[in-house]
Amino acid sequence: MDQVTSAPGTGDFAQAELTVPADVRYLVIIRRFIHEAAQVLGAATKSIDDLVQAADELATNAILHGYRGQLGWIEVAVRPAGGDLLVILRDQAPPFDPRLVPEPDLSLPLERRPVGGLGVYLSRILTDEIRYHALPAGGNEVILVKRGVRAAK
Amino acid sequence: MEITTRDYKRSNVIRVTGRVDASTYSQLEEKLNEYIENGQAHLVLEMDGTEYLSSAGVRVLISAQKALKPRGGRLALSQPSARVRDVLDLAGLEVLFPIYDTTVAALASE
Repeated sequence: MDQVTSAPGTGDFAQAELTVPADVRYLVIIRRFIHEAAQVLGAATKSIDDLVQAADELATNAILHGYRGQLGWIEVAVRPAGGDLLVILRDQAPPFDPRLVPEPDLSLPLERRPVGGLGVYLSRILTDEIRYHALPAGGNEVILVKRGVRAAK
Repeated sequence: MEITTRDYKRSNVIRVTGRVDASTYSQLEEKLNEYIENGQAHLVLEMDGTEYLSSAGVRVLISAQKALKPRGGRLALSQPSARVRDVLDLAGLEVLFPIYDTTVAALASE
């Protein structure tokens, strides 16, 4: 379900939204949606790729470790804010603040290197800021911020 | 995602095209495990057609390397696209995997 909302007179309240089932098969739709919306909003290609991957990693986490196979939804919104671009992810899974996940130790040798735990780390280093809110009615809202990626009007 | 393979005398090339994410990684994992279980130790993952690699794919690569190294083998990566190369670097994989600009170079180093 795609929806574009806008307030007259300013582009900064315009926001493209997508809701998909919490199922890894829809990750490709989430990535394409963010890619297309970010292009419409004039973001640079490298920044778009970074935001797409950061969102994919966190949506994957929500689907696999939040919902754990339960029926649910992932809401995605792409919003301009001046020269910045925001990707907002919402779910109704148990609370999970990605800012609290410890950084992996990338200096460990192969035999001691964990195979996983890189998704949240990648989402952090691919963006300039991650904001988190536990939603009052349950669920999570994560806002991925990429700064100075658009020619601001 | 599509996987094709080329088998040589001493090495096996696994070419992965398209997107490796949480919905497709298991196909790559199965193919790598198939070779590892068959006793093949020198594998080259050809990645010029790999458009996207998420941490789900990175996990598969690290697992394969962990399985191959104790038997004197290795998984080498060849021809990664700029995007994939960025992800490999950010995930700290450049120290765990030999990365070659061409598959020919990867094969020659075996």
